[in-house]
Amino acid sequence: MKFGDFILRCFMKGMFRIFACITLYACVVPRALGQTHSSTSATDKIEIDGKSIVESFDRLESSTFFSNDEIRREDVQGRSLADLLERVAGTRATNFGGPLLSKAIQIRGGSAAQTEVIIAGVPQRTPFAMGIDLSLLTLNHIEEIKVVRGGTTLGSAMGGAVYASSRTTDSVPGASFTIRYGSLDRTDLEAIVRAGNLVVSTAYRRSLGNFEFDSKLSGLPTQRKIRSNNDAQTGQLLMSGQHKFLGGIFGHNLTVGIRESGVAGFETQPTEFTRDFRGQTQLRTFWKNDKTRLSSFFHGMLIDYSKSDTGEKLSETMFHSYGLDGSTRVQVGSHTITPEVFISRISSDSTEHGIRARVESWMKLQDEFTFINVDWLAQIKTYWDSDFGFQLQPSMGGTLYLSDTWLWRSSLGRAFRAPTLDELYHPTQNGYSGNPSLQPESSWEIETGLRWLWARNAQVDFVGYFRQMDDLILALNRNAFEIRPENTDEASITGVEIESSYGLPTKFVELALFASAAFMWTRSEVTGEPLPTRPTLSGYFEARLKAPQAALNAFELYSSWRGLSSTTTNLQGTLEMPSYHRVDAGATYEIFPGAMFSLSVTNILDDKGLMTVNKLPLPGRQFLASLRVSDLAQP
Amino acid sequence: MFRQKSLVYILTLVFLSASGCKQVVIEEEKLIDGLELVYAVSTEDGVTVGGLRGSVPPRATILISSLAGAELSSLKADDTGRFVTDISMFTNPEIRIQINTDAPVVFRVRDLTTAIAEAVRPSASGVGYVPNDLLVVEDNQQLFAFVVRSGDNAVSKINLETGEASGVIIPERMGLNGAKIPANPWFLAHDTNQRVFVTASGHDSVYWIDLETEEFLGVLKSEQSVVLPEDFTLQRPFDVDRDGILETKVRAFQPRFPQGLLLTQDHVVVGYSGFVSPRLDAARPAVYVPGVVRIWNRQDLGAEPAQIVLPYMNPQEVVLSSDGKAIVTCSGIIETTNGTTGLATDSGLTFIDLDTSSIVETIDLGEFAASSTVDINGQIWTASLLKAQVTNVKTNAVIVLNEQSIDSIFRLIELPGRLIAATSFNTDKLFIFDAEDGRLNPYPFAAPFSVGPGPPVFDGAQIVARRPGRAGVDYTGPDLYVLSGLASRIWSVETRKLLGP
Repeated sequence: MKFGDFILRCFMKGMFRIFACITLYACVVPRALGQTHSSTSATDKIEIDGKSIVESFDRLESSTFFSNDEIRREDVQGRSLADLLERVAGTRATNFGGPLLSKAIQIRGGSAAQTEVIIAGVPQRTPFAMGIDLSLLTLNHIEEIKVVRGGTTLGSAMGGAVYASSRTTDSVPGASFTIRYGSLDRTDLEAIVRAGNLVVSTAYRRSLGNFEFDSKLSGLPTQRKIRSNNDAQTGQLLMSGQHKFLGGIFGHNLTVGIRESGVAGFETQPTEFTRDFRGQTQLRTFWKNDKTRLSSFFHGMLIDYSKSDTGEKLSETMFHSYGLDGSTRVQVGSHTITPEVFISRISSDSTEHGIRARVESWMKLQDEFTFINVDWLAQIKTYWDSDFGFQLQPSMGGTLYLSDTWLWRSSLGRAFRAPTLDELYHPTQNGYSGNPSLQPESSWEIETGLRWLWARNAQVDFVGYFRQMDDLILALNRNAFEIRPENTDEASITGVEIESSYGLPTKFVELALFASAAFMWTRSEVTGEPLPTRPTLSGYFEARLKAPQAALNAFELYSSWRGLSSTTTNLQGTLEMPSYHRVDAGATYEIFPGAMFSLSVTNILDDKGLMTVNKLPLPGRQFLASLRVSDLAQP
Repeated sequence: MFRQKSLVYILTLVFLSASGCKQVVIEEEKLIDGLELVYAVSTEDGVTVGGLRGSVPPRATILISSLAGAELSSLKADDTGRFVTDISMFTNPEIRIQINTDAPVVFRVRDLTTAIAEAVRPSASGVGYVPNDLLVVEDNQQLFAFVVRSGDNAVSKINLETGEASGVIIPERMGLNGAKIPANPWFLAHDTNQRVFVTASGHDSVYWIDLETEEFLGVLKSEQSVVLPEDFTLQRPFDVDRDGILETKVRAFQPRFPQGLLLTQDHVVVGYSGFVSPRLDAARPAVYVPGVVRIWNRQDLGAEPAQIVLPYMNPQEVVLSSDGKAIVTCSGIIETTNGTTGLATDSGLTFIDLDTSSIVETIDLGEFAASSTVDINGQIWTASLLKAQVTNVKTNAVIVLNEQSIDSIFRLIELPGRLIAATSFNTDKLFIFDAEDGRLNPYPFAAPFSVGPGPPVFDGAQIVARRPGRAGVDYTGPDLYVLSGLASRIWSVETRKLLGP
């Protein structure tokens, strides 16, 4: 093990105590670090192609945006990032069972590995094809989120992408701390403070995680069982700051997340003693002004599986990526041209796939112009990596205001995903192996959409799309002894997505409704069957009632429904995954200014038969009570 | 007897042909004995007419004529009751075959390609996670598939006529350290009615279950250890006796991981594969202890079983030989290292006298990785887990089903006419070969049945089971059922699409 790896490992192993101490300290003296505050004028919000996502309606992809206010509201109720993202039309969280365990996200029929996650400007990478584990992030550290549906412009995001920005001094009060307690013996402590231009946020959470569930196997009697070895404790730390420097803004951002948890295994094949320790840290620095942005980043990850009964080490992976990127905007006549470059090196030292490294880079040239009353955006991206050489990604899209209330948008583009290091180099172990001859999977996607602003505070987005995928990577049996990823034939996804929001303010109460739905038809040419784990129909509905702005004490009641139609769990389409329906509810009440109490109930109908992908059981009804006390000083 | 039945058949056929109804004709075929093994198939220049072993009396005279009465061929069957003849320039859809002096019977002339394709159809889908064994059982005039669902720790009962499924989940057992241990059931053996024995490899036990009442009737388990004459060196240090201390060698141990299962009139014979732990990485190989066979007396299942340590590792299956011995098929330890799957120990067969509980014969099969064995009248054929190959262990003749570098045949079963059916896992094919002369794809089975889509996303044709009784005599419809391990579905095959009137 290299010295740097050793330091990182020691740091992460000792972090739980550090988190607990920092969190408690911040809870006891919340104002100690938050006395002074000077907001920077331009903060590091989500930027795509050099633009704030609020600035423009996307021409190249469908997207859903979560503002800081929405995220704070969800955060105080103890929701996770994956919970929030499941509201987006066509998304699905792959939940490994407990409230604090791994969660990855699938978007628009893509696999979790086909979802790109970019946190505070850093593309999250992993050597495995399981997708990015979102549970190592906490909403308390996130300011804004943009979910891009479809992969027309993003490197390895054939399904879609999640952009999240870190908290800035703009949105952080002097200090705030939160305590939560709930079902499954869940305990959370969170604190965030603002000190000058610096934001420091820390969180510690734990849950015993064991719960009762109903095992429903086709053709067999239902069995009430207990999910065990499902406990987890996590710690998160964020330090973020921005300063005026050389006519622009210099920013830095450090994020650390760690988790120690059980690995409960599959429903019928539980693993009682397998433990998972994982941690990740990322550091990003950037400088930017109105036109130019330069940044550097480091992202490190440790994934460690062992057996608690024998102490046997099952696997260990240390993974790093670091790189530079930059962009600028140039006005040439009526064209706004944005050249952008990115270079990164990823490396992994693993008992799973050995010592491996890859260099990846891309250059992107983007032009914005207006032609025949349509605002166009054309983009050409050249990607290169040391394993697979060049990939060309052209894309183009346009928007047109049909009237004051109708907006039309269409786009076409190519996306691809290079195989992960583990997909390439995993040795043959326990029936699984990597495939060194694997090639990138790619897709062309075309979509068209309409946005209708049909009333004040009311909006509907319709999107229809078609994606054709080539060389789709699927884990196939080579024989009875070995499964490995293979490039298969073509597959296609055709879908429709609808997102709608409606706000009705009255004198006594404000009603806010949000609904999303997605219809998706998938087909694998090699099997003639739908792709597994892609429900044809998914939906989300939420209603919120809250006191009007003028009310003395703020309160809010909410209820939501999440539904997924049945799908299959194998390529042959013979193993059915039942449909999924979950109803949540909760209330938030401002006890006095700066003190917010929240009670949320997840799975209020106590359906103990809920399952997630690959039939991993989910808990029944869960209560969570939260108390957040914030400094009265507003930023 | 035969003549009377044939006469009834002809009269019915004439009557029903005139009325345009053919369904009842098929029902009437039930009455015809022996002719279910006779076939008439079209060829490029005419028709081939033949009969499998036992289709007609030895040295019977066969007269073949057109429906108009014109004689086309006359021949004699051989000593086994087998015959075959080619008739050129014959294109009619039906042909008349007369055996000895019996009344002639009209046979449809089949197109082989069409008949082989039409013989296969999906029968049940979604039969559970990791299905590993299949039995087809008729009880109370209902046809059931009993499926072991290793991934679900259950045994399922599927009504093949209605598709209705039910079953029994084998409860988890608490281990010494409080861990829940799944049963991991593996193989089935049919007792009576809907009663089965099932090996539960995770519990080192054999359960006796009534699938009709969903009751557990008993558990076969023994606490007695096997003591070897000398130390056995483990593949890597491991806590085999679960005392918290890693061992490098063992001399006494409890038989582990029951898998193969044979039920005879007097005995329950169980093969313990000895599997202890899987390979973890390149430096930590899989751990096995020697394979063991335990023999329980069916009249006294509570008594301690006899134990026999096998000379070969990793017993897969136990079957009965034609002379009443138990044949234990040992594959040897299969390991995959550096991307290559191969054998770490030799493969072989062990013959056990069940009355004396002693080994009477062994046959070394070297690197053949034997999986399943059938003994038909002394002709002993064994399939391979690593190649699509079958070998006659007495003559060393080898039948190659395909040239895939790795393919597996998980089950061989005997068919009427001294034929053997074998499944190819990677290609989803059901092959038939002749046990007597080793001929692959004997007429009319001119090509294997496709019981799945084949590569690249194959179903994994794994276990083939035969419906009890005689197809076309005792029942109509499919006679073979193939369990696909990867797709979790059952395909049915009706060989009567090629055989019979």
